[in-house]
Amino acid sequence: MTGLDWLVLGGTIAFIVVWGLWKSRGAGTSEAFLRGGRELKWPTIGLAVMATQASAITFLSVPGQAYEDGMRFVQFYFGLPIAMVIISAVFVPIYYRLNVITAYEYLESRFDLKTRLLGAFLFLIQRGLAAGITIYAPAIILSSILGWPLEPTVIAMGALVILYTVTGGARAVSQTQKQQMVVMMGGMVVAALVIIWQLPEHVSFGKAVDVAGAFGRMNVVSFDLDMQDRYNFWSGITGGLFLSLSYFGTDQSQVGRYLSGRSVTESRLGLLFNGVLKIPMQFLILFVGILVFVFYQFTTPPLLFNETLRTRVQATEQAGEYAALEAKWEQVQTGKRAEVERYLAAVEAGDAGAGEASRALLKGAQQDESAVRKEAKALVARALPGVETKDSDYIFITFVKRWLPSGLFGLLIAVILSAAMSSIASELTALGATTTVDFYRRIFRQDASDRHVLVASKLFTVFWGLVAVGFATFASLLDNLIQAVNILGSIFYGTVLGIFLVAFFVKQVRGHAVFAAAVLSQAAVIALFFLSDIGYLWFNVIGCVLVLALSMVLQAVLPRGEAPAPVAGA
Amino acid sequence: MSTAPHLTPQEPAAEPPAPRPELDDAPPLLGSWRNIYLLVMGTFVVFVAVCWALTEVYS
Repeated sequence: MTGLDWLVLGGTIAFIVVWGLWKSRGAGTSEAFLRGGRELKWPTIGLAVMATQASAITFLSVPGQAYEDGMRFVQFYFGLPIAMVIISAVFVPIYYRLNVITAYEYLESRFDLKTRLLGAFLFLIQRGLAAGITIYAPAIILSSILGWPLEPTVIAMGALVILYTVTGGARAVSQTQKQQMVVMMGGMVVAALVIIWQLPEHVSFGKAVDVAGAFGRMNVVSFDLDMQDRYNFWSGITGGLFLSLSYFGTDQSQVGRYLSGRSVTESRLGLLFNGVLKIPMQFLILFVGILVFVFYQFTTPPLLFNETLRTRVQATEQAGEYAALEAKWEQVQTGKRAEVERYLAAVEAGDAGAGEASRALLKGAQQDESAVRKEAKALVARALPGVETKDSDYIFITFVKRWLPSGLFGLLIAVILSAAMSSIASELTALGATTTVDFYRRIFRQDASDRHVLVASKLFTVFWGLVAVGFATFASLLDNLIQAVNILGSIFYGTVLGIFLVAFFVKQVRGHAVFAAAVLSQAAVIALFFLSDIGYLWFNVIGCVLVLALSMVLQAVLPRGEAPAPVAGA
Repeated sequence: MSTAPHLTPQEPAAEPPAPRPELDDAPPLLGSWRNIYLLVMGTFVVFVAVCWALTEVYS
């Protein structure tokens, strides 16, 4: 990194933190700390909701995903606008009417204390571990690419977030997220413009998209109903709806964002803002990956995008074999470049037949390229047993480091750090608020003064920050960590969503039935995890459907001694 | 028959609930929330249509 990069990076991050602290000064009550004093307007809420979901991995992985697999990942978000409408219409007014700080308070009002504690407990397990990964995942990539030492990177990132989160509370989180979102999207737009500018002179924007299409990368939407296909319209609109309802409707890291709003209207508008803009935002991030892909059709890309891995292989006995593969790679790239130029000439001449023939040749060249990359990864696996050979997360950051001008590289690192910090901050405030409100204040100190609650909230936030940093510091000792946490999340998310859906939509079900159904469903999902080969994403659906079905059956068979539940907001 | 509580002079009337401005859910435009939700869904449909057109043109 050059001096200018450091200046841009340091200046951007310092400005965001100082801005957040300044805007949140005077957060001297628990209400101000936990709920931001209920002052936020919809643009801030909308940007905070978007920033919470956009973690560093979004900006590291998504462009790489588009590079390798095209635009179709955008369909994963198709359920989101529908979820935003449902949450705005059903969830938000109830949360407001009950004046809750956490989503789990509603469960006590609708069912009973034990169901509230179960929901809050499942959230703490899942989000507590995820917070560690939110810090660790970008740190491992940044330390690999930039040569930064891993542990100090993790600790510095964690300390900075703990500082402004504990000092300014929910308001500081939302205010910093507004700035972070501007940096993130501004950075990506500038990156897209610079990549277009760096394309060869004869390749216009239209031709660049044409080249991407010729390689099958403009596969934005598919209406084919194929259960094996992970991303199509139908899986997006169903699976995406489930996930979005669960995440935005019941996960305190999101609920806390929109409950900081000045009114029901402001919260609804913030969520709907997310419903309208989230898909175009993901489209833009994917499209940046497409532009990187097109850029590398005219410039030879690295055989392996993870530079550290390449250096390590070159230091093993397989170095000669790897050098031979690199020579083969260069040859394949030269051939492919010639085909791309032929294709563009055919398009310019309006020769549809030649264009079609050229497309077929391009696909052949792409297969050759994939084969060489596969050979290289197999070689790495042989030379360095046990290492992760998947390098798509490194594609964008490697491109940024190699090809973007000084200053812009610093800005893109600021984008990634901003994304990491915005997600971690939401997670820490949510963990702190849930521990304070649903456990500490509810069970141990119901008569606590406001000052006492404020101090406890801050201490619990620091506690979770330290847990996250500690977990991230030791994360490298575990294998397949990100997948492990994703699995853990999927195991619990379905049950939590099921409890909330019963609460909102199945009015006759009471506390004992839903609690027993949730415990049984959770046990069933855990048993399925150990005893079956079901893909872990399906646990979200299975857990949710089981809670819905079992709670209705149990309500019908359980003795009717329980008092009718106060159906809040119904 | 009226369901209003009968108050004696000794019984003070219950205090009216504190105003809760945060419960304001007036739609800021388009007349109703239903119309705003339809606008969001309409935007989504248009976006999907544009994405479909892009896929068709470049496939």
